[in-house]
Amino acid sequence: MDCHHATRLIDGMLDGTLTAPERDALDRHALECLSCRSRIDRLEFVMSAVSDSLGSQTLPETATAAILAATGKERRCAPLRLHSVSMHVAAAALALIAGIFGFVVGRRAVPADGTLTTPQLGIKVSEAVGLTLYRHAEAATWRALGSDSTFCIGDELVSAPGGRAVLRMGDYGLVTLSASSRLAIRECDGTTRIELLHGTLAATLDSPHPPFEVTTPNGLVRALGTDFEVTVR
Amino acid sequence: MNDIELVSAARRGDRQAFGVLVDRYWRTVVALAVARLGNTVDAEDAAQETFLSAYARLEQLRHDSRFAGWLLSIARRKCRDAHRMRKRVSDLAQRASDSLVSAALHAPSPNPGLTAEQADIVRGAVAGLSDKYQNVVLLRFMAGLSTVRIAEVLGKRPGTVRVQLHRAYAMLERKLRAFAPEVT
Repeated sequence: MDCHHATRLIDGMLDGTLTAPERDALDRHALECLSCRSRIDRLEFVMSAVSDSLGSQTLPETATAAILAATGKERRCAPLRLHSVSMHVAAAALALIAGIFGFVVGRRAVPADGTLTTPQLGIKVSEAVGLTLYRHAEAATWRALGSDSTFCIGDELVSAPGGRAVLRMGDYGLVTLSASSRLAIRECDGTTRIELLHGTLAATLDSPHPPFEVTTPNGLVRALGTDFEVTVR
Repeated sequence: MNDIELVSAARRGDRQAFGVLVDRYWRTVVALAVARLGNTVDAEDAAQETFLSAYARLEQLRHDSRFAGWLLSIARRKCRDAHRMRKRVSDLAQRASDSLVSAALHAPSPNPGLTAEQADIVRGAVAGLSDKYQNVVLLRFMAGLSTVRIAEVLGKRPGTVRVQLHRAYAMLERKLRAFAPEVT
């Protein structure tokens, strides 16, 4: 391939019309041609610089959930603001019955109104600042976290930028979901297990505490002490 | 599903279809708002307002294939509204507080190779483009659309979009030359 042909392919990169075989051929040429390599590097730099500098701090799916919640029939008030002023909610009164205490949560139905028909985990919402959404495992609808929110195995929570949720895990600890973060409550026999999907989670546990683990896409964190923080980028 | 199918479904009350459109164009709308408003906090609020407005006014969209271009025009109006709101704030203490909050929340570039100052230059470079160049840049770099797809959503000829994109890229490259990789 000569540089004239390579230049046309670099233009194709900019246009977004380059095929995979063409990209491979261009890369092979770039191994031997410093000038074309530099042009490719410059193009990739500009594209990534624009993408990164204008990027959103909110995951698209979080924004989607918030916007759909605002367009829903149940919301007649002003649109939700992703960066709203703090909301402090009273703690709910649910007892945590984790696996080690012999409580088993089975599959349950989620009727159209979103209420659950089987016993839920006893997780209290200790504090909620800004906007955090949660979704039951078999539901498609996200809901705004509130003092009366209840949770089951498989449920997910997503916090918006500026949002933070503090959950009381029974009588032995607190889990804080930081802003722009996402977690899921997973079932595990004999141990409470949280899956951190994105962002930061901090745990403050009493001593002693029952087995407590946080899984991430990259590994497992098993609580040995009383305070730790996990971040997934 | 393509934009035409999603818009049609959303008009029939399928909110999940609209959700797919939000997911598809969220980054693009936020990028436009960041370029115009200068900070992510205000930009995301403007983006949210944009999508809510679009949802409420879907019946006014004449060509379903041009949803993205229509969405960006709504976003520009929302950004102008946001600017006007800022100007109305006369309380100096409130302004000072807002600027502190904005500065605190103004995200440095997540690109480890860019300083916050360089990210500002990039934002300024995009903000300085005319609307037609800005549209093609954002739809290409943020939404990842090809020039062929961009032409569809903007109702233009592919050749026109290609020329606009290449000109816009040349402008951006010149402005970012100070800290971009050298071209030999």
